[in-house]
Amino acid sequence: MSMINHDTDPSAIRYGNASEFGAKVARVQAAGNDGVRMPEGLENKRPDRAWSTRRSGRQDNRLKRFPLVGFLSVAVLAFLYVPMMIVVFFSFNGGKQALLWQGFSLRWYGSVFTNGAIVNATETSLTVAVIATALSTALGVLYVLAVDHMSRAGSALASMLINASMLIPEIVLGVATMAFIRLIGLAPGFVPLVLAHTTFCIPFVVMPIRARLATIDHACFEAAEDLGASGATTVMRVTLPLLVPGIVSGALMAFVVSMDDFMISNFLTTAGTTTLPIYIFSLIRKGVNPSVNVVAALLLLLAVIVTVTSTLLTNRKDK
Amino acid sequence: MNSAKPLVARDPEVERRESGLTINRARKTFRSAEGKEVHAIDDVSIAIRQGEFFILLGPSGCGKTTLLRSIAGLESLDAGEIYLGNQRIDQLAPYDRPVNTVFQSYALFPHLTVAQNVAFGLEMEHKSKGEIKKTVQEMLDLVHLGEFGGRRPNQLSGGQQQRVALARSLAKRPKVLLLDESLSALDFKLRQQMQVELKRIQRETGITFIFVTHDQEEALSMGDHIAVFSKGKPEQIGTPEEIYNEPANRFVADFIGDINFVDAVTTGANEITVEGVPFKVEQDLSAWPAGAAISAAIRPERIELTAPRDTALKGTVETLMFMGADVRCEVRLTDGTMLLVRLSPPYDTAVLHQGATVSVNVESAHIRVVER
Amino acid sequence: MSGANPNPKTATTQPADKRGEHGDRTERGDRPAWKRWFASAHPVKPGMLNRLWSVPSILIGLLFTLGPIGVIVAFSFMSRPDMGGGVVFRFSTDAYEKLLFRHDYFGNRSFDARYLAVLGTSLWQALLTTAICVALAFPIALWMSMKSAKAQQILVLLVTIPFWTNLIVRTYAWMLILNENGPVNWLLRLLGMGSQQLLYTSFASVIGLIYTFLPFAILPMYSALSGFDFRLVEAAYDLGAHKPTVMRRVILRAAMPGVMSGIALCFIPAFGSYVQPVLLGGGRVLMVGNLIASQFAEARNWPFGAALSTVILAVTLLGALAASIMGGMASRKAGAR
Repeated sequence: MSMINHDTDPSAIRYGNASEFGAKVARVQAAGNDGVRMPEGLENKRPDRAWSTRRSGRQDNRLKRFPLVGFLSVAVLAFLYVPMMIVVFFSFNGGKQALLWQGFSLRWYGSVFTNGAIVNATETSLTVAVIATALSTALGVLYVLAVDHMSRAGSALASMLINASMLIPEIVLGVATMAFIRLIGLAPGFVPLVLAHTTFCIPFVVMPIRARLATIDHACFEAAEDLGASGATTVMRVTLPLLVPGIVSGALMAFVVSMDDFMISNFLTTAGTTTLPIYIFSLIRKGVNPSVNVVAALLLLLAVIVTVTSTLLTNRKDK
Repeated sequence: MNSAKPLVARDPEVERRESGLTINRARKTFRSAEGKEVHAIDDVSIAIRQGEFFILLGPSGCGKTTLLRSIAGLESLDAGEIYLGNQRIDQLAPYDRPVNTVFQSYALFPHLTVAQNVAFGLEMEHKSKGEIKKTVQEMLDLVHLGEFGGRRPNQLSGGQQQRVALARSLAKRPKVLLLDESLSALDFKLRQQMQVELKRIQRETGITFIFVTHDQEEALSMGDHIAVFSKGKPEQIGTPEEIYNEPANRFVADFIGDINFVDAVTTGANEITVEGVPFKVEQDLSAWPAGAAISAAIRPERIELTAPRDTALKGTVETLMFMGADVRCEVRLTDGTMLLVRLSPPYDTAVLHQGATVSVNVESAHIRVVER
Repeated sequence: MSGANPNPKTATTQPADKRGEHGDRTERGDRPAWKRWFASAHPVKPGMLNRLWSVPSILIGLLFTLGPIGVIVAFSFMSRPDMGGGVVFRFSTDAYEKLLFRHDYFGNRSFDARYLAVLGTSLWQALLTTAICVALAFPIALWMSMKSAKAQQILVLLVTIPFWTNLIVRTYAWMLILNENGPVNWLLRLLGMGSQQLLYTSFASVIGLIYTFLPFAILPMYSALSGFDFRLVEAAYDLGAHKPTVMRRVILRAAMPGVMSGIALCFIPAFGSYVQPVLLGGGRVLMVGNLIASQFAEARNWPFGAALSTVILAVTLLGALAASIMGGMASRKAGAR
């Protein structure tokens, strides 16, 4: 690897021969303020990309191998997945008990889908999640677009308010929300549940949208206005379409976060608004339960679908 | 249609150019990160003729891009006005001005095809579908991309993207087209091709082009008139020949092409003295006091080297480089100044060789006196 | 004709009328103070919305985070009613006293370490969890960041899936595994060690916590390391450093911002955790989470629960602040700024 020898001043090098390169260098040196010209003949290539950002040498560089790292990493990955795999395995248990394996069967899947309590709880969860997702996505998009050009103080304050729910331990937020509801006279029930869900979903929506916005060349917006699009038209025809992958990603995350929530919902539910996590919790407090194996497997599936979709969206190359 | 009286008295010279783009006493100040006030545009008045290829030239940070963006409406002026013909446009939003921009990064809409990109401005004007389709094809043909309508911007090369950006802006038939260093991302050969293309398109469409660049070669080759900017003010506005042969001050002389600065003293209304040797100049020096310390700015190709004569300015040849089309020669004067000289071959090796003493002579028309 | 700037004429310059489409472009200070404070120096940027559109989300954020927090802190200074739950709006510091003192039948006050012990247990579990999570996360984050881009995408996907899996479900998995009839005990019986009581212990609770929060530690560390230029490592070797030194001085330093984030993201929720101690720990050991919950349920001592919550909140906010300061310092040292 050649290193630049800083003792040699490039402009002092004389290329005295009748070479085109020498002439070029001389012209560049004389011009002073111009940069180097790129090599010719790049007309029909792929769009101009930055130089390779490959940040290190060959993959299996021996220097990069630290002892045990590989082994530990695989072990950790296994640790993350084996428990869930066991649950999924037992969800296909044909026996009556959660843990006594008695052959492969889908009986518990069938049982879960006809279990009234579980179905109701799922419906409640889905309803709350869908509404909370819709609200938080809408509010999140508006927030990101409005906050992009706020003054530093204003946007720091707004940031703090939006992300506050992530800094507070859930138990505290749960009881506090319940107390707050009591104080302002709302009875625990559907409406405060949805509002609370919306609130803690917003940061999860805002993050991917913000990230996506940062990848867009803001000159596009200026170009749109330059070409005759008013402010609103630019937002509708340019900003939002370009943000769609981030918006969808955020919505997916909000949905999952809402479906998953236990702590905060726990303090806001009444008899009629039991969400799925709350119901399951009450079931398993008493011990393992074969129905729960099934629900667990299904929720795992949900997580897989959401994560894969989100990853595919954010890694799409054509945008 | 807006015939409001100008709020500020305009310079009569400026007032004469009625139908083009006129900038009157424009000012814009930024606050830098350290809290200092930066005059991005410092009391600028420029008149651009309708249908000409006008160039804003200058080093980075001199305010030319800010001025361009002010014309487009993407920046607002703190003071001053901009007129297009008789219509005052500086209070209008960018989408209301008959001015379009080709951005440095091209700014093509990634989620639209090439044809949809070009059609965007026309859709904003609510033109009929048939008319839009026709105009889009016309524009793509104009930039030689007729078959590319269905492609997406990320499938195009840099040069092709640039032409799409051009087609997109031209589709709306603006009165003025602004180009912000549009060629700077292209490689050398492509750049030269595009320079020719741009001139051709400008001539064919008759639209006023205002082109920002930091490349003085590009400016000299393309411009009808050039404004050389420095620190928010135009140092000189003129044709390429004027800028090159009669630079108004040291900055312009130094910025454009190669130049030699020789310390000299004024000794009369048309004479200077270099190391005791008098030189006649055609420039009127009455603005300078007698005996003022000035610099003589001389282009390398205007210097004549001959066998040494007693009465002439003497120097020693330090290097000689054969560059093919010409010969580059460095001559050191007795006071230590190094002169860069360009000669056309053939030359007399008896007179010009390494170490030879020579006489330096310049015709009066080619000496330009600037401040030291 | 060439000329420099035309000489300024004697006409006075007046600032142009700046009504403009974009509203607040004036330099005059005649906009209301709150508008000036809240607004930036520029009009609406192209493609963006007016800053007022952020109000709905800020409002709901205020209402459902700051509002509740304010209420809970207020409640901690109030009195409990004679019967039932809720609060009576009478100022009192009884709740905080109860944290530290107890009163016996005769009215004597003595130091009561019980609740501090609860806080201590939770703190200890949270710290243990955080330490193990961070220790385990570092090798895997490092390993991931050195793989090819495609492999990295897949690995991130693999780590993120548990992140999004329901907390209850993930905890339940360990209930299954550590159960008397579960796989672990089955294995132990096979090995002749007989079945052990693994569930409903602190050990199970910590395992559950680690399992839950491990992805929280991996992702920020991976994020920090993925931006790390491994040519720096090559340069270090070139300059004669050995592997441990390289690890310590180059890689760790670069990963430090991620480590700080990971610590914060693990510790804060772990400290206030409820599900794992109850489900896996059996709920018998009093932890902060179920202690607070019970105050609002069976024990019906809202002010005390509020006081506990306020203390927890203070601890976690301080921790977050410390982590962010150290993370900022670490970022600067790692050369991110």
